[in-house]
Amino acid sequence: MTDLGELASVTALDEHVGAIGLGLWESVRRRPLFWGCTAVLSVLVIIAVAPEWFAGWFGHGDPRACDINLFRLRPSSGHPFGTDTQGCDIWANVIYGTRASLEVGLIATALSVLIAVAVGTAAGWFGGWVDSVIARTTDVFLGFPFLLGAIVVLTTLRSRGPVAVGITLALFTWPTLARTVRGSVRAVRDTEFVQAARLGGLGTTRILVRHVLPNALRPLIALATLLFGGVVVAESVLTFLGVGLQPPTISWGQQMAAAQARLSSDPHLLIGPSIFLTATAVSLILLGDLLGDALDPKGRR
Amino acid sequence: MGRYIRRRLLELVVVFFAVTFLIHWFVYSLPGDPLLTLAGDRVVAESVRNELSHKFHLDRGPIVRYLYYLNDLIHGRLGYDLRGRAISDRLRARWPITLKLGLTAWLLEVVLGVGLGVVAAVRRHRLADRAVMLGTVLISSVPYYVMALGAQWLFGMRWRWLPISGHRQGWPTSYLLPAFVIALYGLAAIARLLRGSMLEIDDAEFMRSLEAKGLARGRIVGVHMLRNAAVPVVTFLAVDLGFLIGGTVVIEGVFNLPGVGQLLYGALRDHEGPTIVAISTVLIIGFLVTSAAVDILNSVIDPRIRRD
Amino acid sequence: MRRSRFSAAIAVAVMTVVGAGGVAAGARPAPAAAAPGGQISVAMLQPGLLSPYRQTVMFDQVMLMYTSLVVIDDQNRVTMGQAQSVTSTDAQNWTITLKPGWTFHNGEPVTASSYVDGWNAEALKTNKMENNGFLMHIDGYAALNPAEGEPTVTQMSGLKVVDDLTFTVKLTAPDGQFPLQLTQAQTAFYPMSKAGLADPAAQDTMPIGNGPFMMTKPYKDTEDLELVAYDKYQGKQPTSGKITFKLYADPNTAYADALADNVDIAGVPPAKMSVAKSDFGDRVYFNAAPGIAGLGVSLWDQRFENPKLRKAISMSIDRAAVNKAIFAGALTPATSFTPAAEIGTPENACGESCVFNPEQAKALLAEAGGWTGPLEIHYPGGLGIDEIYQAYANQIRQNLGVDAVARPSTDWASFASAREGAQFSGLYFSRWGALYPSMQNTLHAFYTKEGGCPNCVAYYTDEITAALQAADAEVDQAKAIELYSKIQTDILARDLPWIPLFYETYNFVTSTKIKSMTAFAGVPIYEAVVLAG
Repeated sequence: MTDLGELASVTALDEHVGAIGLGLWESVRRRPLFWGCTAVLSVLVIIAVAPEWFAGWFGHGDPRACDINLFRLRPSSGHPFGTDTQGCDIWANVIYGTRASLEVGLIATALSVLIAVAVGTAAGWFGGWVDSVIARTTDVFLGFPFLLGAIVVLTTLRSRGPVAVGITLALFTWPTLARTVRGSVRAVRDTEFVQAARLGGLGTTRILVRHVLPNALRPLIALATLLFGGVVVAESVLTFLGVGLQPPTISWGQQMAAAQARLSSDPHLLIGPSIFLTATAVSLILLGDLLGDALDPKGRR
Repeated sequence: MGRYIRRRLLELVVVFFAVTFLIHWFVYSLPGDPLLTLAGDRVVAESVRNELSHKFHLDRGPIVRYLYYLNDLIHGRLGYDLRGRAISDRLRARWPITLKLGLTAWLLEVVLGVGLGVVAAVRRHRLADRAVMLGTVLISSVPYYVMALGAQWLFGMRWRWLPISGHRQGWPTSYLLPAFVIALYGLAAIARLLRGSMLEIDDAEFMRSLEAKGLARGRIVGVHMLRNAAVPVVTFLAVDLGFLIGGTVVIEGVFNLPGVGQLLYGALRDHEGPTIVAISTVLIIGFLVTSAAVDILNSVIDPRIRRD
Repeated sequence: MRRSRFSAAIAVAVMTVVGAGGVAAGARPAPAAAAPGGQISVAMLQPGLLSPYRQTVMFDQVMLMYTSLVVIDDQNRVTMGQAQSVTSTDAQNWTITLKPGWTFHNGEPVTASSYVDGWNAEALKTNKMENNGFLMHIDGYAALNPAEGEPTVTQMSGLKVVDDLTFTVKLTAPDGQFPLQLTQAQTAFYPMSKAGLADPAAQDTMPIGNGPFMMTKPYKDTEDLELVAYDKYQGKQPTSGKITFKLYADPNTAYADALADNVDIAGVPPAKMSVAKSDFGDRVYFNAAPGIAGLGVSLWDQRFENPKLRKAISMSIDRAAVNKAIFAGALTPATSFTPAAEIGTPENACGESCVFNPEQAKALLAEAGGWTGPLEIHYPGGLGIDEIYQAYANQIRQNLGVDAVARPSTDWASFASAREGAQFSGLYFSRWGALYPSMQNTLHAFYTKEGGCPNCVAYYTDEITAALQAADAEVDQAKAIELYSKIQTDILARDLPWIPLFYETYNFVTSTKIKSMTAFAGVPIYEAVVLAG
């Protein structure tokens, strides 16, 4: 990596970091994929905020108004996704399920990233005993597999809403991110331009915020978006295992977990929530990729 | 050198006590009397319930119970489950199944993930790259159990290529399908990670200079790019082993492999405290020792680490 | 994992899980085409311990290894198994004589002491046998189970060996249903060999029984459990020489394996009931079982004191529609308080309270003073029964205008503890599967404190206790049936302390290898299945 050192001077680095914010926008705004993902996610957010605007489009706006005599109807006019075993309109339920699913994803990802950045940066930058304590702590969380850990914690909770599930998922997902952050912070710390910046008398905070974090965050964005999608999916797995969101909360996970048992006979039960779940996860991940590419100064070429 | 190893081992011991106590405390604060699950929806006679409560120290506080546990552990005992069976016996029969499943999945994800990642990086922005990237995105958005049930239906029931449950046909036949489902998720991450870091290195100036020197593209990809890009992937793989074990909870259930994941899940549902604690202990010890060994090994290889 | 679905211990609580009943030996009409040496495989959720004194769930395999004193046949008739006769004149003092010449799998003869010594060991508190409580009505049980401290005696005073093949049992109170309690699903009343008494721990993995099948090696929970025919068996010879129990953690996987012809007999999980017929054609068995499911009412909460409110709730549930949507119409809506599969259960004991009638339900609710706030329906989560409770909540909400919400617990233990401690209020999961098909079993479970069904209902009045005692005391079965029926029509229909919903079925599918099979109390009689071809 000595080749890198030849080029890197404190001045040059400062210039390129300063350009990131502007360059990011410049680079993504011309990508149709970016607008596609943003549009999908915006619609989902609006649905999550005001489901009542959408639920009644096909005439059955109340997700809890169900006639059990109309159970498991195939998609038809009035019921674009059909009805479920209770005779509830699946469209209305999917619409109302958006909020809980996004909430879990948002809480878990935001919290996870926050912890990871704080912890990972501290470990990578300071090293020494700080690093040891943090490394051992992450060992512990990693040592107890994510799903198992989440099951243990969720089992002890008396009621499980989106906040509880989100926090629990964050508790077991941050260590992977933290290790990544620590790794890239260390890599940057040991580069010659940062060494030079330190010798040049720049303050720790300034170096961290301006030079180290932007570099450390880049790999994190891709991972965090994957995580967001993953968390939305994980909620459904936890529900399948019986420790996820509980009624009366309506979520895609619950709908899918209920649908899977009848996969062979009534696949249409799975279609509605799956479309929404997949659209959410796919948009997030693609968007993350794009941002990752754009943040990478060289990737823009 | 010796000082570093001593410190690392001391850390290990401290962490071990902290974690096992935490798990203990957690498990025994689960709501509900575990003896109520012993007989399904029937009840065990009051007199017997009291005897069992006493036998398993369920009538004592968490600290006392932890001390009993430590005492057992020092004597190399993992204790007995609430039905009076030796947990070590139960685990001995189940570890091979879980390890076979986990390692098969790990192998599959390394081979497939690295393969797809390299293809995507080399064919950057072309059809193969986009197909791999979109495929991995789609996989990540399908829940485990849907994938597992789908695979079961397609390969096991429609085409009848592979058994859908149990381990009667041994390794690898019985393990291929469940391992493949677990691996799908890991390989998505590996392929993306590898592609990302390969492209990053590809963009690095020293690659320009290698190309300028006239090295063959194949050699550049194989030797320089892949080797440098492997670092984050290897880190991920080490971490991923824990996730694989977690994934076995769902997969061992759907594919009916009587491994540790299945046992642990059942134990959680039944509030089978001694079993949960025993399995966690083994997992934690395994992970801590591996992690310490890797660190110590690294310190031998790279003396800078010891300075920290 | 539908893993959740994965707990064997709890699985018994779900109505349609694999196996919960038994196997009769002895006097049963012989199937025509016996195929000696034939083999069948049976899917079963993982069992716990195999000792008949300690097993608590999944015990089909245990019933194949023993022959009980009395046997219920596939027509719900009482016949003799290991016993030659079980007689009493006062319903309190019973004399049991055994058939001569029977042996345990290890060659030991089955004698009166096999029972008396076995039961004494089982009843002794310090032996910590899970099924100890089944023996509580034998005189002297209390002395072996003091609340505090160690017992001072080791033998129940109510058991006496008369000769090699005869013993007497004195009960604490008259009980004309005692012979039915000695039938095949009541494993606590099985005999124990001397070898078994000497090494009780070995019985947990490889019991020595007196039945048509035996084990040849100890059970390991990662391997199939194999039973082979016992060649010196004195009862009816089985139709197959070997039965392999394949163990599953998830009933859905077992069902899929049956579909792929990998296992011959499997249970039908709830969500598969609607597809079983199209998947398996006429190889589906929805067997009427002695189980009944309904809604418990938290009577400790005075808001539920008015029977009119309870009747309003009951009448607001359209059982037929729920049955059709969720159970593919396989269950029978309950019209009485004991399952139809129990001998002598009356029809329509519940009367109009169990008939769907939303108008009258609303009227009754108004008379009872209405309901404000949410009405919670608590049930154990993780058993795959969420759809059912969701449906009940929807029914009550829509037909009664009450804001009913279904609330799952995390798992069985937390539900059971909350129920035991009366920690919630509202309606709750409540069902009982009887181990012998007498109305006595269900009524005792529900309406006596020591009935052993903590999830039934806390309705223990002097009136019903006295009525049950009177019915129990009848040796004449016809009179007993009349009295048990009267309890339902006169007391339970009046107060409706519990809301009956469905008579349960135990449901099975078979591979093409099996031509037909019969059932005892809902459970296949494995040793008498008729093999195809």
